[in-house]
Amino acid sequence: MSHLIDTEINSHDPAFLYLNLHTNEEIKLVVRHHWAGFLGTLLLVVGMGLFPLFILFAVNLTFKDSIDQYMPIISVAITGFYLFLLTFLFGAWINYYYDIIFITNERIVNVAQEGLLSRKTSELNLRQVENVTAEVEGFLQTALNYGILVIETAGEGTTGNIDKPGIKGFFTVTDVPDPNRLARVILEFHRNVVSSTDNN
Amino acid sequence: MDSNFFIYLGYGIFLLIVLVINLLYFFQVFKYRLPGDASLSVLTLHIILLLLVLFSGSYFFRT
Repeated sequence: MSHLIDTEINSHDPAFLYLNLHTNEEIKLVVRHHWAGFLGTLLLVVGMGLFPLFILFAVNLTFKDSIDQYMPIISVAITGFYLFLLTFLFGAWINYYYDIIFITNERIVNVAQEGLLSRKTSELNLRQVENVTAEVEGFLQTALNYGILVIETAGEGTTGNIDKPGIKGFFTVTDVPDPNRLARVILEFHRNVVSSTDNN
Repeated sequence: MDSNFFIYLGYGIFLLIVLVINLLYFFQVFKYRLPGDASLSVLTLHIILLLLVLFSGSYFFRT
């Protein structure tokens, strides 16, 4: 499996306490979003990082003689800009990296990091799974093998926005690595849960 | 008052805000990181880059 999908997990680790696992519940998979989903932000930050250098170069050419007297304010502005950019990048990275999907033997828990000190956790009982669809679209997604996983459920979905994936009855996760294999794994876990319920 | 004083003051306030935001991010990393993940490596890299920008900025500000 992809390195973004962790299969060897100690479910008793205190780090998983916030998931409120049930007595016999075990985390089978920990899935992180594909790094390609972070590429757009990274390119934006690199572009923004180059921008002051061009400005400085242009200012240096135009006001070559008088630039020294403005050096304090220029230095402060550039330093402040890069500090802001680094903080923005780190925040964006946390938003990307801390979006995690936990697949246990009973549930799918989608933890969405939504900015500074804001997290949204949605969970879906594997019994409620009706259909799982993997969507891989475009060159980048096909080449890097990532895409969207849409889990059709008998219950609530992840968002109430009817224009976007995640409408009621659909549990949608974007930028998932190896979505086809994950879809098969989820359906397999679903069958295990249903058959164990039937046997009881 | 020297105009540099206001530059120092504004910069100081800005640094304080950046520091507080970063401390909140650090708190979040330590609270939600999972065993064996890349959080601490990225956090270390982030701190190194912050210090690099801060000190190189201070160096140019001095001249």
